[in-house]
Amino acid sequence: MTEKQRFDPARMDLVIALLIALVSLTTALAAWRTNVVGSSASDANRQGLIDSLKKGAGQNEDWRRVYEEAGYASSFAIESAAADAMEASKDEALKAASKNLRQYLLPSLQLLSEPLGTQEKYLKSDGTFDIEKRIADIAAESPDLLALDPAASFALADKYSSEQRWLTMGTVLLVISLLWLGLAEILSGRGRSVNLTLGIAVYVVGLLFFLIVEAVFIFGRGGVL
Amino acid sequence: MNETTPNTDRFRTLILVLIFVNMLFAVALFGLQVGANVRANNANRDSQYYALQVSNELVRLGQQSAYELELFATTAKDAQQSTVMELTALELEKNGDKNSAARLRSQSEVAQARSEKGASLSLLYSDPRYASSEPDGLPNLEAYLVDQSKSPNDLIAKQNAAMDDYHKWNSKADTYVAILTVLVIAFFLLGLAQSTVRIRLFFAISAIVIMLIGAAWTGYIVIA
Repeated sequence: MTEKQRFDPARMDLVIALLIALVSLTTALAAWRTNVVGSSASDANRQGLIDSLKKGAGQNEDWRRVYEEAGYASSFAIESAAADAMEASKDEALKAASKNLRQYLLPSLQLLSEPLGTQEKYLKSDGTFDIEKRIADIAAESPDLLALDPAASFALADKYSSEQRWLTMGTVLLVISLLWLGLAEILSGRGRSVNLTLGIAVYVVGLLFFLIVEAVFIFGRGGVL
Repeated sequence: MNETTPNTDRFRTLILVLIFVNMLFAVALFGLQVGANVRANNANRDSQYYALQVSNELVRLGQQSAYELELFATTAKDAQQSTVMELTALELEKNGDKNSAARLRSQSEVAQARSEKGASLSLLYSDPRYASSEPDGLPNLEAYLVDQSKSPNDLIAKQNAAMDDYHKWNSKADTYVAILTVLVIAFFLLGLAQSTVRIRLFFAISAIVIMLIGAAWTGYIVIA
């Protein structure tokens, strides 16, 4: 095949058309992948908000429970102090009442106030209950809720969003290459050669850029697409 | 005739360059639009997250305040009861009813014991930020309520900032779409300039004017 035959206009028309088809297909795939990444960012954001709701609901229940316990624990402590004072008084009726209080009322209150009102570890040095410690212990009873990490989901969403932005740039380069190839198809002579060269060069750069961005972000996510 | 052909070729080349510039402009704008959209989405997410946090914080503070204020009310009531009984015991003693006075005094001691225990359990009596410096003084409830509202107010400030961010970026993203639409008109005019001969200059100039308007508008939105 001679040089003239190789660059025959009719033959070049076909070659460029095939190139346009290839670039169109690549651009469509790149646009699809960019959208998938955008959707993944949205999914991660939604997951983070769902986790926040779940975690918040669990924490609210924990706070309700711990303050309910604290109410019983303070009642138990106050009634115990009252029983001590009654026992120490000179009034025989109060002494008798103290005995009955210890026998009938305090055990029930003690049961309700457990463990906040009965365990030493929940008592602070200033005499108040260590609500934070009790909350941490209650939260540890629900490892599933404790494991929910909205911040991690949001961080993942940020990574996907960042990747989406870069992939958009790659897709845009592919679209530009399509423009040059289109011009090469309709022009002839030197204009065709220049546009064809530019189109192929931009396509290769765009494709490489796209693949490198994908590789960097997939590696950053530990292999997760 | 010989002069017209090179002019036409030059004009067509110029139009091609303009199409390419417009394309690059549109591409850059598309990139800006995607970036603004991503930022708007993230700010929207943050505002929702902070709104949830505020709600949870209010629930927590509600439980805490209910407990602390109930304990405070019980403690204050026991302290007052003890004082009233002690005063009554003094009156009875003065009137010669020593047995009743002794009984009331014992009851006063019991109420006092309740009150002291309640005070020792209460944040309002033990925390130096709220506890009174005087032995029988009342706690500083105002300071307690101010502190209680601080964390939700801080979260609301963050939520408002995120919401403002969302509006800002969402508005930018919307404007970029509008400018992209304007650039489509420029593309159309450049296409006409490429295909017609008679008023091609008019189309080309119109396209350039529209591109300049788009560029000025983009610059304003980016800076704003």
